[in-house]
Amino acid sequence: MPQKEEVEHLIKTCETGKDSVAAFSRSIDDFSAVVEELPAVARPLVRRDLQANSGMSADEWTTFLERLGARYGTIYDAARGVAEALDEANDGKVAKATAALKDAAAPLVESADVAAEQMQTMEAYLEGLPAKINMIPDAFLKADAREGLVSSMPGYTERARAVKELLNETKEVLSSVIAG
Amino acid sequence: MVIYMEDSNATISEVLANLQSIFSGVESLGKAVEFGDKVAVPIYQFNFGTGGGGGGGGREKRTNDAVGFGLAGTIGPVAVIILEKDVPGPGGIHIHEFKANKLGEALAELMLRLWNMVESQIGGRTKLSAEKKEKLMNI
Repeated sequence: MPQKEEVEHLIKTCETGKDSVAAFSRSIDDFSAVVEELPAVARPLVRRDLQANSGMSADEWTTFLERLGARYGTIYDAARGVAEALDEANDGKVAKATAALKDAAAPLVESADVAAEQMQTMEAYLEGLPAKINMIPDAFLKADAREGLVSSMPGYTERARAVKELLNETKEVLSSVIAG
Repeated sequence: MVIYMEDSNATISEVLANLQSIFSGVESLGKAVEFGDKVAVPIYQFNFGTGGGGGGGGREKRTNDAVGFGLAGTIGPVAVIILEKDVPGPGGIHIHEFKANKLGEALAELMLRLWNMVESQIGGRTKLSAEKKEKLMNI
């Protein structure tokens, strides 16, 4: 039977996870909006660079993050069900709620390592992006557009790192709750 | 060129429209030229224009109707891309335009090809397998 503290920890992790994923998703949207305003010559370069170095296009990142956010929501709801069952001290209900939690968490448990690895790739890409953008010659990107692009990215790396760390933490907490 | 014919304006219009759609505003890469530590790739723009007209004349019972069209075009260099062999990354790519023009997406496509060449030399591409991508999209 799962411990109440572990379930509470999982609920908090899911809350933070939803917020972190939403924050990073907004960063991707903001970045895409800035890229759309770039000159026609530079726009596809930046798009292609993101895809080539982060493994996915901006649209694919958005889809992935939407699904991840929704998954955190599903696990959160299921974990709340386990917490309520534990409060009632009803073993049958706890077992049923735990099974529902296991089902809800299965896709994340299965893909958490790949997702964390992907967030690590994105984090590394974002870390080096400002320097890379500043290397683009004026012929491709004028100085003001370059500055606009770089200044649109404060906190991106940290947000990517936060999602990665939460994925690892979620997997760990889920394992102990489900195994318990 | 003048062609004497009757009731052929529609056909001629169609031909002219097709010619214009094929040739107008086409940009093309020229042959790369190496000189020392640099490679120059010229970009040409093709501008084709067409025109046509018709008229009638003559005397009663001896009319003389005709239509005609013309095709003229220019091909000229609009820009040159200079690649510096010893400078890795985008810093080694320069574009020099010969006149103000909007090459827009066509130039962007060219840049992508150059970018790919640079990337293939400096590495850094991250391949994501289809299996991993599927996992991410179904998380």
